Amino acid sequence: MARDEPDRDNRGAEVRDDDNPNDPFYLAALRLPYYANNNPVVSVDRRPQHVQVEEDWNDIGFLQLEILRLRDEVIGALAREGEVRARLDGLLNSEARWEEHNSIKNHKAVLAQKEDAEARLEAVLRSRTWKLGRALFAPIRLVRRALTGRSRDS
Amino acid sequence: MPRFSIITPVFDPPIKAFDACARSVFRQSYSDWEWILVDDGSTDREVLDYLRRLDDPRVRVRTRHQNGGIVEASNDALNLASGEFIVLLDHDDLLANNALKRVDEVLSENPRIDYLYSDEDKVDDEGRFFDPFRKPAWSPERLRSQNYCCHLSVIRAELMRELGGFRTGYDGSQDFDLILRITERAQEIAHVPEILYHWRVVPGSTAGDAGAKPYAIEAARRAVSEHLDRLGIDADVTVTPDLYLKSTRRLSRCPLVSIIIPTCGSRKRVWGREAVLVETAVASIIQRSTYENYEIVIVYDDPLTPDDVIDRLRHIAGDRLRLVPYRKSFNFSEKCNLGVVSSSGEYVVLLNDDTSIQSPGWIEGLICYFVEPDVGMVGPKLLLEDGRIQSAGHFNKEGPNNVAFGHHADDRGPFSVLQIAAERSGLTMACTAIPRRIYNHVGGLSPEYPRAFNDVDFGNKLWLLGYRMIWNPHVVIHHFESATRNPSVSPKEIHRMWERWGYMVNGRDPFLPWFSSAIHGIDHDSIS
Repeated sequence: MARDEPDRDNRGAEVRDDDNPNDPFYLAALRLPYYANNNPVVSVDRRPQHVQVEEDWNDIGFLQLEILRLRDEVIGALAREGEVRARLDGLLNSEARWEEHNSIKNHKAVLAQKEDAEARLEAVLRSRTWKLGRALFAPIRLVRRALTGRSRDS
Repeated sequence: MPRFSIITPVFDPPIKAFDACARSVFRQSYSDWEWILVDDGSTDREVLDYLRRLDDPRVRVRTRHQNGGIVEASNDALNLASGEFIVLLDHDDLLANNALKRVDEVLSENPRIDYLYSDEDKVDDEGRFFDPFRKPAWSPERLRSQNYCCHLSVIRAELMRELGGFRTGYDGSQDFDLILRITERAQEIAHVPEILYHWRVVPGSTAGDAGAKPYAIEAARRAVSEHLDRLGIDADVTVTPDLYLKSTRRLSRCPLVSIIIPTCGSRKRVWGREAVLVETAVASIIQRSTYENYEIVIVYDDPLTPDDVIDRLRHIAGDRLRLVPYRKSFNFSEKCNLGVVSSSGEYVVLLNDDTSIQSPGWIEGLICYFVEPDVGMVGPKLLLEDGRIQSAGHFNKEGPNNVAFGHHADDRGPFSVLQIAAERSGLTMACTAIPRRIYNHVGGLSPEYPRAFNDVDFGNKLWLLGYRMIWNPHVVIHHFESATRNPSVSPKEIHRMWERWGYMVNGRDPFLPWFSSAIHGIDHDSIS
């Protein structure tokens, strides 16, 4: 069955599960013994397929440019993080300000209602109807006080 | 121990002004202070009576029977002070009502602050305030040209005593000398961007006329000269006709400088003559530079750049020339990075091909600042073809802008800001010098910005990592702006810039807070 056929690389060599060339650790594992023996790294003829290599690169120059690019990415990521944090702070602040604003607005509304009620009460107290009513009911109040035995000052 | 000791040497002030000064102290909305007044032998009866009548347990008056000068009187006041911080107040000036309260708030937030200064304005005889000075964030290079910190100054008493207080021999600039010495040692320095001090203008005062006291200017010159000595900076300090100080630094060695010029060999009519821009730039370097040890690295588009241009460059620059072909689609940042990794100088100068060197000592004038390890980039005054300013550095306000674009080359700017070397929040990449180690540290120019904003991004990266950027107006270079390519900006670049630095470029500029982006320069109305 096809399933029993061993996997092969592009040169037709058998590839075992434990040395899959697509595994990023595979290349490092191949090189480790050379590092351990303090030997120069030799070329590895089997490459992971996802590594793209330019044909006309200048090794050192290319690596220097890559280092610059990676540093730029790291610093750029830091800057982006700072931006996100600043925006988040801004949003939280604006939310807090919005709540504060709303509570002030509510407070103002309550104050306005109170002032409105006071004004209406004042108007009622100053109205002729109220004064007339008070005058009409004054004898009744006096009788009630006399019956209950309360003085005007008590 | 009170929080603040306000120290005021007194010598025959106009009584009305002295009274206003005293009232401004008593009006403070913060109460934990003492006021030490040292009368330096005043002869005015009104002043002496006024001092006698000052009846407040927080006020201490000491009388010197002989006039010993402002330094001795100030030191006497310092010796009497028991507060944690010393607040300097002249006998005819005013504190804003909330000055001490505001200072206390800032100091309470950060216990490492040893020195604090605020914005200031001036006050006339009628009590009218004018000439507000919106100051930069801590700007040591600017301080070497002018005592911009001045008022209000608040200093940790312990440090001030450790440094011996005011020094004799610096009368008239004793506070400048003190600030220079304090800031050399301060753990942290804070700026409060609010006007907390009103400086009295009277005939003959320094507030009204900086040239009124020539001895004070000479004392300031000596103070800066000694300050640079203490920092190990070898420089001549001179007084400019505008009465500011100019430090001309000497180089102790002559390291290799790599001048990187990206080009595609394009032509343009400049000063009435058709020319290949890169040839003009290289010829001006060869003809005018007084610096000996430099190489010119031309990163040219291959095969776009004509062969005859390359041949002529070889002829003009000779052994100094290094040619680096670039074979990708246009990306200014990548071209510069390629030039830098292909070069070998200790310092790199990124130079556009549409430039022409004017100042013979331009390389020295740019790299001399790198004796201070936190200086990350230095740039010159860039002029347009017609002689107006193209860039005096960058400032941020509703996005990045060129400072003073289109202004006359000799425009002084408010508080002479266009005449003195000082920190900037960014510089134009048309010409900048950068130490190679710092260029590498920040990852060079970002390839994410192929055309525009690469300089803004680079400057912000330097800022993020704690480096200073200095604009030097004494180095002048012509920049025939965007002569080589289309100056348009892609939406992608704008998006990337805002994604990384939106808050920074949209905020208030730390070094030029009063500038306006609306006119690409100085908004004189907003500061007066």
